[in-house]
Amino acid sequence: MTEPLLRLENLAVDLPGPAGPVDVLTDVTLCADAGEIVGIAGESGSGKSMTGRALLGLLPDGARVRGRAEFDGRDLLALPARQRRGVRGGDIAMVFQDPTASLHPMLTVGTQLTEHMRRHLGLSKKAAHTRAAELLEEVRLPDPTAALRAFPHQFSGGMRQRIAIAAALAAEPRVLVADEPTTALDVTVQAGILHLFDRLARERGLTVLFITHDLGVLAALARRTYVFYAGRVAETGPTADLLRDSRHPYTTALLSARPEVTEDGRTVDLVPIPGIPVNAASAPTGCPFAPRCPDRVDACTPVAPLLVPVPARGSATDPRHLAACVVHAPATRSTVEVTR
Amino acid sequence: MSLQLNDVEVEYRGRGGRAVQAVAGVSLEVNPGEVVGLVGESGCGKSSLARVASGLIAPHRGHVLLDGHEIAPLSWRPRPRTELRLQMVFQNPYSSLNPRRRIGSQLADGVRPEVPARSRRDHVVAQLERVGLSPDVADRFPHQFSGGQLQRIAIARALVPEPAYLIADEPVTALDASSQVQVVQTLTGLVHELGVGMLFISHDLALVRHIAHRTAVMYLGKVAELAPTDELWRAPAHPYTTALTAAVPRVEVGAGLPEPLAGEVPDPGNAPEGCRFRPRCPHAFDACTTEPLLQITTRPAGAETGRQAACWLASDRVPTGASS
Repeated sequence: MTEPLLRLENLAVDLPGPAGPVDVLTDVTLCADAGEIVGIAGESGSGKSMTGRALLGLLPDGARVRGRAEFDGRDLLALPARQRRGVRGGDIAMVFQDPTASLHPMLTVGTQLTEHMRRHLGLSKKAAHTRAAELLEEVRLPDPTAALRAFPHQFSGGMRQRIAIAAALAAEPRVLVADEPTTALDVTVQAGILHLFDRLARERGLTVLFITHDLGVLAALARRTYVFYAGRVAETGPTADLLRDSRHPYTTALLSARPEVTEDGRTVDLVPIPGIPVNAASAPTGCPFAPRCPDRVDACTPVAPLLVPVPARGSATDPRHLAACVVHAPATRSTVEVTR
Repeated sequence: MSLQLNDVEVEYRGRGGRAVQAVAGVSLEVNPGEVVGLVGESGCGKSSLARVASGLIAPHRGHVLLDGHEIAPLSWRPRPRTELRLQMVFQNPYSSLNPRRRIGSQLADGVRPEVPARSRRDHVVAQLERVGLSPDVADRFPHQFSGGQLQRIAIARALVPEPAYLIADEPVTALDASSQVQVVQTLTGLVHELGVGMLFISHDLALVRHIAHRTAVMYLGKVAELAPTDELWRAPAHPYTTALTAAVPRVEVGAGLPEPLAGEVPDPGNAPEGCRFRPRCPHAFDACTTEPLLQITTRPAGAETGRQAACWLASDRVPTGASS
């Protein structure tokens, strides 16, 4: 097997707080191959956005980062600031939830797109202009030449997000971190943006980390998904396996709390998740989901469970399907060896 | 006995005195013990409809009737007591509660004047308990709660005047999955237990599918389709409903990517002639240059009676030839 393009290993982040450092990410290990769309799902405070930001070095002041964040074999965290700036916006770019906030309101779309290309690719003004029109074409913005002369406020939310994606693609990145890029959009517009990401991954070989709170968005888009809870990975595996055969009680609870409409229009009863979500800082010792978990046992509380392969159930259990749960994925001696 | 909107229009004055019609003639009825869902893309006039239905703004034309009496738009005068029977829950619980007052104190504002002073607090506590919160919540401030808890407090506040109708404008949009279901169940519980009639406005079609008895689909200020929720999903009569439901992502394995709807919602200040959905509609034909009215339809075949759609495809009397 080839090396993954992107690999986070035991990534941990803490932020300064009034009473000492506050953990926001604990022991996050994650990888993505070239051309793969990887889903990162979780509620607010689960650390899903922090993971994307840590990768780009966009963390708040005073944040401490431990672990490794390898891109194409290089550890980004060990790079000097100058080289890191070259990677950020160059090889790795980001798309945010609110396109209004990520586009400058007083600069034309053309200026904002060409700035990236001149900075990272060293193109001439004219070449950059031609390339910007091509990018807008690629994200399916109607009338790209006119759009280059227009200002962000002249576009609808969906179109603005397409422009923000074009801006992120300007320096020909290999990885795109998309942080809730469709959350502010209507479902009809969201569907178009999802198709766009799917096409970019297939045609350009773009790797996408797609961060969202909505598992439904990932179902058809992401080949693999990581479910975050309280700054840790609770469960990961092929998205289809997580949806069909979730093992971590949190993933299962998230799925049953989601209003779902099946093909034949039936509805399934909604089941609320008891209690309130915790973040990494307020998480109890042991498994952070334990206080809300219906399957809790004594073994849940002393130490946080390791992310280990789930026990086989039928012949189809994928070896990449891991869960951090002592009840549903007990760590045997052999699994501990597999995960080192 | 119902909350009734009769041909309501809402108009805003844009720059240069240009009128923009946000709601262009909507008739809708909410009966006691019924959840009516209202869905549509942003800019379709959902929130304007919520504001006019709750009397926060005056209709430009048409009437809003609460149990047969026309409601007066909110002004500096106290609301007539009969109108306290209509209450609203807003999208953002952080901005709909006063951060500087204790919960109990601000909720007590809504207690009916005939309740004696000594039992006012009991009345507030009873509403807090009804939405699943403990009595000591009354002594705390809004910043001490999570979004989901605050939204339940906002619901308790709406319940204090003992309303017969609730208008909930995107009440769970700002909440995490964990608290969404709790808040939704609190709201639907009120409908079942107290017989409250609820207009539930949301852009989340799957959620509305779950809780609404009837669903109205709004497009550019008008109702495109109004039908019992099950019917609407089983066999949409309006092409816009079909497009909206196809765009909802599903967690089923192998469901495929949701289908996008081409084009953009047109500017309501410059709505297309004829059917408003015509420029984006895959089925548009000659007749669509004449605006279809929302009327009772028997199509698709087997549709339940009383189902309404504003589409020539669902009509028996299609105009012949294009008209102006």
